[in-house]
Amino acid sequence: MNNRLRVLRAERNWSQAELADALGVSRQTINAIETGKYDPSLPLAFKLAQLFATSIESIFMPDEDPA
Amino acid sequence: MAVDRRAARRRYRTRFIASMSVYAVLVVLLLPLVKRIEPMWAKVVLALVPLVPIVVAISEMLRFVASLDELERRVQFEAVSAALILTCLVTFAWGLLEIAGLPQLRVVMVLPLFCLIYGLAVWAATRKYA
Repeated sequence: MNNRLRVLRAERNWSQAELADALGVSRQTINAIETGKYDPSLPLAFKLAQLFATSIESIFMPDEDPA
Repeated sequence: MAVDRRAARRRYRTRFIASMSVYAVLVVLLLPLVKRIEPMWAKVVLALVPLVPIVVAISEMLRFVASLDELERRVQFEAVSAALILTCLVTFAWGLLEIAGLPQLRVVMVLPLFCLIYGLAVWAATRKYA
């Protein structure tokens, strides 16, 4: 799954640690989501969407279908 | 929130190391006495006393896992799964090799083996998501 988390965070001038703190997760978790190594749970995705005042679909996009 | 997470990690490390230190001292002090002491019930009680700090360490582990976020829990789950599978594999393989004449593996060695594999698996799983 692709995401725009790094862009959204940069627009607000937040560090990974600040975002992690606001969400109650570790900085490593934010980094893993941004680099696409970890897809968050639905509750965490909703928290992210709420924090950035947008929809989940505007943060997370499915991978391109290779077929 | 970040302070809580750091405090939980620090508390876990401190209490885990303290528990294992007490365990090591009890093993060194009590286990030599187990063979000499009588009656049998006293042997049993004395042999099981080092289990007390192990139970404390396990309860601290459970509390620590409860304080983790979802990715950290996944790392722990993957590490415990790998450690369980590999420990079962190694001990079962050793059991078969005992039939071929290798020395008997003492049951007390299973937990340290599990902990060793678990430690390596946590390191590997953490790297995977870094």
